[in-house]
Amino acid sequence: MGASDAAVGTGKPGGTDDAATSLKRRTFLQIIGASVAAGALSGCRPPREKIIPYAKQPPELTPGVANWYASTCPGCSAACGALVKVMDGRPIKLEGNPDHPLSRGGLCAIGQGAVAGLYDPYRRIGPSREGKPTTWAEADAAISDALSRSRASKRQVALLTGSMSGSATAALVADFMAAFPQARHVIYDPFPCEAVREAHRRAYGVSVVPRYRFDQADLVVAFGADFLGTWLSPVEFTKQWSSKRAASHAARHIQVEARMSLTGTNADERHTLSPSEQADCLAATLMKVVTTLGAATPDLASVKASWTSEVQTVADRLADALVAQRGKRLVVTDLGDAAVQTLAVALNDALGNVGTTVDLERPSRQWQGSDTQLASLVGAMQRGDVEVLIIHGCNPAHSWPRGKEFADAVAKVPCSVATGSVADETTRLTKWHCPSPHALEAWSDAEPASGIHSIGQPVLRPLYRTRSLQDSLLAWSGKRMSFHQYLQEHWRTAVFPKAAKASGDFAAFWDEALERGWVQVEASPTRVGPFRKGVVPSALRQVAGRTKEPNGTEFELYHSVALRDGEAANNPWLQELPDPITKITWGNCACIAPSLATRLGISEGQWIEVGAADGSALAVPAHVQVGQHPGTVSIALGYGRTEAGPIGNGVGVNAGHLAALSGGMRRFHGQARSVAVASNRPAFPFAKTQIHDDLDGRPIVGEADRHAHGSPEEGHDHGHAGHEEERRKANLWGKPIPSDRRWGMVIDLDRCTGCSACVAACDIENNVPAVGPDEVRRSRDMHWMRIDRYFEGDADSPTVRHQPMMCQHCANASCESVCPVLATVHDDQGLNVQVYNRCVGTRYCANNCPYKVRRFNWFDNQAKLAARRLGLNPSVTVRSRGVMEKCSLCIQRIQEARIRSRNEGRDVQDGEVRTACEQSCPADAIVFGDLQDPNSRVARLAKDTRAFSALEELNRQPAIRYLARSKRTEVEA
Amino acid sequence: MSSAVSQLREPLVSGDKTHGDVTSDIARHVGSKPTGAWWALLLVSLALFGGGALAMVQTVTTGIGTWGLNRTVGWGFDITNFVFWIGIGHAGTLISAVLFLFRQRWRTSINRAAEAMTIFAVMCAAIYPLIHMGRPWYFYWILPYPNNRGTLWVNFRSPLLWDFFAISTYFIISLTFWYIGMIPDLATLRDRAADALQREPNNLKHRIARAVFGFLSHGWNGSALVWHRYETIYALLALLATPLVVSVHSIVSSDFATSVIPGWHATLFPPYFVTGAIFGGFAMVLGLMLITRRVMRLEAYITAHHLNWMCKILLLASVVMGACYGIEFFCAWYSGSSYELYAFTNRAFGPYGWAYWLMVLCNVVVPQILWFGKARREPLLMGLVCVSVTIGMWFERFVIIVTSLHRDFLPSSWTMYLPTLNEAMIMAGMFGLFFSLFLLFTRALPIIAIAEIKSVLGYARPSSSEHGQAHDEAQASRPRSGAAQASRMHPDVAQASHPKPNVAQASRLHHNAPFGALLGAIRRRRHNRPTAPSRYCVAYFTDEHALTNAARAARHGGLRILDAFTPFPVHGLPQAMGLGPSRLAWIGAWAGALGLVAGLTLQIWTSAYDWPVRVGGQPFNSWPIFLPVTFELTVLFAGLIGVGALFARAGMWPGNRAPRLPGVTDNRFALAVALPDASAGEDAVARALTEAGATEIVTGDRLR
Repeated sequence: MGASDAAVGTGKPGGTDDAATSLKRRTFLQIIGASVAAGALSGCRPPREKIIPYAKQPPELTPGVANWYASTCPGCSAACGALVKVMDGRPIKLEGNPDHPLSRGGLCAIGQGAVAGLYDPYRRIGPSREGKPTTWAEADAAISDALSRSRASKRQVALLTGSMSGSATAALVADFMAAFPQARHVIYDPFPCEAVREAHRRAYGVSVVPRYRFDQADLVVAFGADFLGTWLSPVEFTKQWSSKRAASHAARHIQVEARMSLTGTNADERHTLSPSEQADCLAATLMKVVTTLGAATPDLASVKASWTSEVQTVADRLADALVAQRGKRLVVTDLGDAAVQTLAVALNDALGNVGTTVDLERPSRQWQGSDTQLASLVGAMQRGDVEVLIIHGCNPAHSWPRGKEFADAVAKVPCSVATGSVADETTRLTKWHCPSPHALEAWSDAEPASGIHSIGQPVLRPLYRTRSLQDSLLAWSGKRMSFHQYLQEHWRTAVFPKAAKASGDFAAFWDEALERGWVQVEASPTRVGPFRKGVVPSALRQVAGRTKEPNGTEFELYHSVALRDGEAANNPWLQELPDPITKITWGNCACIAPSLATRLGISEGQWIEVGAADGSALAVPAHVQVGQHPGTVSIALGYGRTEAGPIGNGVGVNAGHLAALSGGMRRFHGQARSVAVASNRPAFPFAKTQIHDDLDGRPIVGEADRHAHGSPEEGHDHGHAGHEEERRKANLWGKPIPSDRRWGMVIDLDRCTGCSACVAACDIENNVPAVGPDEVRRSRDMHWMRIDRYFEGDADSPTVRHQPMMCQHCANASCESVCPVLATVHDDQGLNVQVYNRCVGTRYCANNCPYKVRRFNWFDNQAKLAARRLGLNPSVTVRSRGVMEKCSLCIQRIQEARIRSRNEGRDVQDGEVRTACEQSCPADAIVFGDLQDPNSRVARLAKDTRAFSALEELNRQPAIRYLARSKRTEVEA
Repeated sequence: MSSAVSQLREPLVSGDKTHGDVTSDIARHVGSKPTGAWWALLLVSLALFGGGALAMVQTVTTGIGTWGLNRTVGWGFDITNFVFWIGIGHAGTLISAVLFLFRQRWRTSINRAAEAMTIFAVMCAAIYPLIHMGRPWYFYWILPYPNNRGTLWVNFRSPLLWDFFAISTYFIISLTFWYIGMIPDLATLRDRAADALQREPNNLKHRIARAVFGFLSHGWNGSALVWHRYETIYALLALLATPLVVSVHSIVSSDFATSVIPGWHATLFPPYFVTGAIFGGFAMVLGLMLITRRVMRLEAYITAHHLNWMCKILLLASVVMGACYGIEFFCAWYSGSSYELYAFTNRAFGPYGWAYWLMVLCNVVVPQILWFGKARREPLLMGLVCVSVTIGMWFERFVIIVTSLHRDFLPSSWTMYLPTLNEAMIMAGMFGLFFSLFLLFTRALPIIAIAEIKSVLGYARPSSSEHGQAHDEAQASRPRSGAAQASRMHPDVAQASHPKPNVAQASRLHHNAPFGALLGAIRRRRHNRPTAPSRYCVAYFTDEHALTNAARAARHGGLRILDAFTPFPVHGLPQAMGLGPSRLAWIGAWAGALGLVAGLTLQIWTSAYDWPVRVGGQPFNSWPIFLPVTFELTVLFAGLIGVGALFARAGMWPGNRAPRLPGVTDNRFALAVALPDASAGEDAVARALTEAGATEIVTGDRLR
């Protein structure tokens, strides 16, 4: 993997930060100091700002006791609320902020992994000029010079950034821009939402991405949109979706998609259509719905003719369901085509969803990127119109379909500046690299939805000589203030007055905002015009007018759940996070349907060449995926990085250039010119964590029949409450030895989407090493928690089951009795504990574990963690070579709560201990507590008729119970 | 029992060998100049072992990750080979102990080599549990020892701990058994070396041989009193080793049978594994014997009949194994558990199906050729069957371990196991070690039990010593060639045919022998009587029957028998000498009881009182699960204390330089009687002994 052998810090160290390049714990602590305290450390730094801990306000750090700070997740534009766990001055974990109005405590894998970026040994430690280290003074002088030149020459100053929704940042950027006659701010996101905005602009005259409310929708119909996995704001949507699902047995979800997406696996009904068919289907559904509802139908016979009968069948089904469904409905699509989006808008409008499940008045402010603007900027750069280019928070050199063109364009800019905190493909192109600190080292703000302002506060002083974009913009515009001051000032003038509790004392407001991490203010609603019916016929015509090859193969590009745009490619935890569907780690693949594989005569891992209509082609190893549309090849974006760092470089292939630029907008799907076998290459060995996908009819994952209008019925395989006592009697050894508690967990499979945020959370909480692709190929992944994924039924439309699986903490643990040295035993809290120090590594426990949840340290995995040692959780032992490890139910958290409660002279309360997986779960599928306490949430849930244990017939008496997934039957009209 | 021995039975040793022939035929290989082929084989074996050792070093320094194991298949080649070698070892104990108890006298030709094979195989096996650990440097944590880090004990519920106790007990008892059985032969070699040294006083080889064998033979001098105790302890060890051999593989099978994994979780496993062990081990013994008898020209001792009998056992075991394979499937089907049924379906038709069918072919199909008598006489065919069974039994373990693990309960965790070069090298290294040791053994030690083979020369002799009279008759009824045969039928004739004693010759031969000290020592040990006779007389015989008859006659004639000296245990002699049963058996029994109590006490005290830990939902004192270790400790205590008692009572210790009579470890038999003080009586005794068949009589004074 190479992570272990590279020293901390790349590039030549210089200046005062020498110490930081060879960080030892003590040195590290000296450098970061107590960032909460106001005491001076050294005189040559800007003043340190006061930040307030979220939950408690210690006068100083207590060694070994974590402080939590509310902040904003830097993972993506969704800007979920996050809590940063800081132990002894070191941020070690990001968790969801339970109070945050959008994410409500959930945090996805990307967000969980963000903390690793802080300790990425390949971070840039200071500014550089054409790759050579330089000083900030030199860089500032040169850039200021160039900026003045542009003012004189009237050439453009361009700021190319990712979405920055924060109002203070936006104001700052506007201030900065105002100083130049020819300035433009271009926003570029790896995930384009421009079509959604364009559609709303056409339909309502407002260029917004609405805030979708899945928690309001009784019926969701999604065309391709992987809203539980990657689309827009997956954590927020997962929270909404699962809460609706839990609240209403009638809530249903229909997915129409080409690939097997995470969302598709959770749908109650799923149809496979290729992307172009989805557009047709949307049109047909719209027509049918409008007709059924009795509105005037646009007379478009020609449009109708272009639909295949298959599309019409699905559309009829969808229209029936949409019309028949009582309550609220929601239609979403992720197709990057304004015409198709317009149809979805029209459908939502026809169904009366606007104002209920589609909120346009307080829209989302995430994902503001505009491909057309970038395309025009590239043109300007090529023409030599741009004097200064500042790039921040985006990597078009990797993800822009014409990366080469972009690179050439950047080369024509006299003064190009990149401010990424790590080196990437784009920073390589620029003359200057003025690295930003990691998000946890700097102030930032965000406004993910209109009126919801959140703050990103630094939890430690920058480790390296870095400066945030905001501070740099202030410096380059000659303002002698820090962004922290600017931010406060902005809030005082722009946010504070709108706050409902504006009691006059801004200081108190500010402190409270920092403590909570966010504030909600009264935002003036967007003025939404009436729906312009005229947009529909043209959109329909546009959709119908697309040339479609009959039976031609299409390709589709998507973002993977684990890596999304690939920005965090150098994070081994995310690379090793198995894709929830394919279970492939360390790389992407071309998902093809079994029938296509048969037709092409290829097997798993064989390379295929996918050619796009514009002539570009890509060789990519094929993965045969059940549930895939037979005529569509789906490839994940974000892979094939070349400048991500030693871990991420060369992992997978970059499919970005297959995307077509149509009218300046990227389209992530299209007709494949050719799909052929690249016969000369040996098959690629995918690093999969699960090789066998079939349940083989085994009753492991329960499913309960639950009718839409009726009480839940017992599942056919599971109905266990009564059997418990019988099983206990059948026990050879009679009554078990009583224990003080029985910590356990209930996992609701009806809520669990398989998003794998828990897996990432567990990895980071428990210092679980990533072992690299070769070891994963040898089935030696170390995940304490995994999500078993099974396909059932036929290959075209399989049923997918996700089952989180970790140590079951069996009362009759098979592992315990076979260990010769008592390295795994039960404690008086009812936990199956693994004593690493005592383990000699016979591996018998793992062999005898029916759940196969034990993980063995085949090599010295400590070395693999060494590079990130500073970010390790000090409460969890790092395991040495030759010992067994497994889920401890976050025993360190249990201990923490026990100590706290003992100090306070009380018992541990139900819900006081939250395991890492439970905490991170965006679907609230996991509940942890004491099964012995009859009033605890787990004890009550364990009595549910849906409750079952995995492999119950073995009488291992696991402490993990599952609630069977509800099979939601047809809507009764 | 003795009466069941048929006259029609073929002799166990062909070629009309005399006692002396036996000594020289077998002993001449010890220390002989190796052939080129031997060197070549040894070098190949050592090279393999060297490669394996390097691979082991890599494993220990880098990690078990150098093997092909994974999160699902935690055991592969390591435990496969472990069980394989333990199984190989079983045939040795079976032949030496079980066949001994069943009075299968033909075992004498092969038991020494088989026991050696046991020792070497267990050594090969024992390396695996050690190196398969994640942290082998902490292997001693498996020992239940008190330590200074607070209370910390081992888990007596774990089959791996049972393994540890079973295998170490097995190794210790097997080694003791082997060594005890070899002491008379070591004395023979010592005396041969001493004789040779007399002929060539400057020969270093003989000097070393005399020193080494002298040290190892514990001062053995063929004393009938010691033989008597020796036989008791030997029988005790055989008695202990028999359940031990069953227990060891039963316990090894418990590694699997006590688990929950489908394909492992089966009550059939103990008998199935024991049979398999016998099967595989017998194939290995037979294969080695086939080569050895040919290379070392031991066809007279390992006769076609031996091979025939071994083939029949092999055939029986093969049929039983076939039945076991069938029963496994039946049980899986009958259990009604879909997991069980799948495990066996997967075995036969899953990705490792080829290994299963190879196993069936090698273990069940190929050995059926042994139904044909012709096949049981054709060494090449037998050799092929041996190789087939060895391969088949190896794959049986592979199939059980790997195919059960690679697909167990949750399909999400199913994987494949592909061994690495490192594992293959270690496996080859173990074969290298085994054959290196065996090759060295063939040159360094008598590969056939010299003393024991002498006792079965030409006829099967019941070992039961209680029926002295009966077996005297039985012996008399057995055919034998030439004069010896005649002597048995008509003792008078036989005696008449003995040459007249040559007193002068006797004195020349034995002028150096300090008889007085020898006899004095014996007397003190035996009776602790201060009034030892001042004069004695030693009569030499060439025949054990003459000796026995003489002893009986002497005792009936009122003479006090001091001791007798024989190259092998002469049955009926203790009775003839008037010796009662040895009390050593009781010592063994009490030692066993001590072991039992100690074992149970240790386990219950540590698990339930000193350090009660919750394990697997079991009560702290889950005593039934403590029985395997208790049994092993019982056997260990009984065996070691019994042997210790033998050594103490018989005055045996390494390097003991007790005096001995000439030729009594080779082919002569001596009877020592106390002489009346009157010289007239002396003559009468000498005459009587001569009449009884003595070929030589020596008289002398006690030295003190």
